[in-house]
Amino acid sequence: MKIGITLNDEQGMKSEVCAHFGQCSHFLIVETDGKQVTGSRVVTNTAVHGGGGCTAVTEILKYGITHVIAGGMGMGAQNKFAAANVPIFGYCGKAEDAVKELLASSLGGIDPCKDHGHDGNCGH
Amino acid sequence: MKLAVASGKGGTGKTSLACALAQALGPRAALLDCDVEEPDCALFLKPEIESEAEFCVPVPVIDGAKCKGHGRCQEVCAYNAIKIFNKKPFLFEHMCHSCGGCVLACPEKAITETAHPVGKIRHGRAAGQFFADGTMNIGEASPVRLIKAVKKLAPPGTHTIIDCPPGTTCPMINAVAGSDFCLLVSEPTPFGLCDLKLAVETLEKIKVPHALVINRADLGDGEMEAWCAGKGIKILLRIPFDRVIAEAYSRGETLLSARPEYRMALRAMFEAIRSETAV
Amino acid sequence: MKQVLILSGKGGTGKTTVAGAFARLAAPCVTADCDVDAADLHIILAPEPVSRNNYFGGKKASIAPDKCVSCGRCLELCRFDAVEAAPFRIKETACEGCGVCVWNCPAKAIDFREVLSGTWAVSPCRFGTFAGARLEPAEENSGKLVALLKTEAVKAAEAAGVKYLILDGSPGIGCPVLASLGGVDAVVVVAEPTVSGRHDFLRLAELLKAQKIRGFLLVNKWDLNGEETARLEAAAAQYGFSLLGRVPFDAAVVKVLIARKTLGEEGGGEAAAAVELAWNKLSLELEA
Repeated sequence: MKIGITLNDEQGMKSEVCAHFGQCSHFLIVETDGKQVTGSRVVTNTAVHGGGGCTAVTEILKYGITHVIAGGMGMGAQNKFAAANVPIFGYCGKAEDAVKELLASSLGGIDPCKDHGHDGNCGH
Repeated sequence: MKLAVASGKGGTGKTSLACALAQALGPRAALLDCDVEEPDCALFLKPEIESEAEFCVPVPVIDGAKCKGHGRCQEVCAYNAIKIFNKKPFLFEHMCHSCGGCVLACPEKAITETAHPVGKIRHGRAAGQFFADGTMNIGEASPVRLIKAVKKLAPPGTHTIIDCPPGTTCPMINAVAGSDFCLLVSEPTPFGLCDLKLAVETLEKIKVPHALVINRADLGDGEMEAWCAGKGIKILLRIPFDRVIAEAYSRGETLLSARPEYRMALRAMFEAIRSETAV
Repeated sequence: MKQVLILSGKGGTGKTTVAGAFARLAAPCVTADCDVDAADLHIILAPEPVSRNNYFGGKKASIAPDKCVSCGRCLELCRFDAVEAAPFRIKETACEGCGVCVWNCPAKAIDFREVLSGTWAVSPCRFGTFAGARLEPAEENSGKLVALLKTEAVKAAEAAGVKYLILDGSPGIGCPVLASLGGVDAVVVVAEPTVSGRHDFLRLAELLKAQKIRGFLLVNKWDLNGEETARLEAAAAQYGFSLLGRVPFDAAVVKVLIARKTLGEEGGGEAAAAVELAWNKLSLELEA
């Protein structure tokens, strides 16, 4: 399991999870064996200001992530993750806490179809 | 005078007419392309762009440390842009209308705002005339805020021609709002008439005086003219279908470059509208 | 059941005309007019609505003058220029229903009521079933209505066991288009061979890139500019679109629409023949 997390700054595990996918300055890529973190590194989001967050998705997907954690996301990004079969998990707070909760299976995933904000009616 | 060019139905000739009017009037008028989802005026007027800037709207930023998961933000959000998952808020950016409600509602003052780009605004000059347009970022849901921002660029002391988006709801209304007059462009077909009626209803609701230009006037039937006569809507110009114009348009050339003889008629129409609105 | 959505980017390229023609060729089928801002398909499909349903798009605020203390807080907070002062009044057409003034009025003087924004109906038509909506003029939240209409159309299509759901889409690339995309099996882009048609097509193609939907291109009035037609087709091919064909400009088309019929139902000449060829190609690809 490889988790991609949007970050507000370059600290890494101690950073706040960023809610604005296209604008986040860095990503944290966390490798795990499903139960424990086996490695992690901070990478720069070179696609920042890419006009809508969609290029940032392509960017983070390059790291081969299987899951993504973010504090928020626009429709384009949600669609791209759905098309890539990468489930989205929402978190507001520190990245290390988000990872802990995801590994403890206590984080609910966000289903773009149901939780879109259109009450399931967006037509996804 | 602020003159909006709208239609209801798409593809009737708004952009063509707006650009032709702009060219006929020259530097005493300015052109604003408010069809920000698909702005095309620049393709025809080929302006020299002097400034290009990103346009942003405020969206919420939630401080995870201060957030206690009350959910007041979710309660007040009228657009389902904030939803609580795992006792914490998740932001659906594209639903956000930038109303600022969540910022005010949070009891912990955990929400501030940051700038989210929704498109770009450019301005410059075409043949000495002020030109501005907005281009919405692909994937954004609503063009409204960008349209309002483009309209603010209207230079004082010149007439302004506004190329509006198709449709009859929010985007069109925001482009037309505040104009002294709206010139509707339509075609005398059943679809043209159906959408014209909707456009007129909308203009009546927002109280903007209007008149009609019929494009491809010989390709259709007489129902549109009959309806206008019944409603007292003036038809200011009838442009017959002209393959020369259509082909020029397909190459990105303006109406006046194909048929320069329309210049006088367009100027006269503009003056007629001016005297009616006394602006 | 396959969902075919007809889009264009640029307005006025012939979406509705093509949608009507496809409805006849796919009959019995379900057709939905998702262009709720300027709905026209009902003109040529002539549905017979049994009853209409109300659509409440959102809320609008209004100030109760007897409770208002003229503090001006609403004017201060409103980001949509919807508040007029002295006396304080909400401009109905500018109000976006955010509720900020309502929650923050110290005198609790502002009402917040649901607005009847329009109606929708699913009704029989001569090619099967038709789902359409009417938005009141100056109303908003069209994306929400489109999503609702689609849900009902899909329900109707599954209930009737038809092979096709034909969706007449909106121009542009905003919310009404986004709301119509989900679950679609094919997007047919009806484009015109002009510089602006190509410019607008490219923006739509970018939008569709992220979706897992097959794209098909149909060039309308292609003979107005053969070079632009070729450019359009090349651009579409770059985006992985399949080429459905070219429809010539044909003055006979308007006559068919004036008669409130679909292409091919009674004439429509070469254009009708070209659209039928396109449909045959499309259905072959979708059923493969």
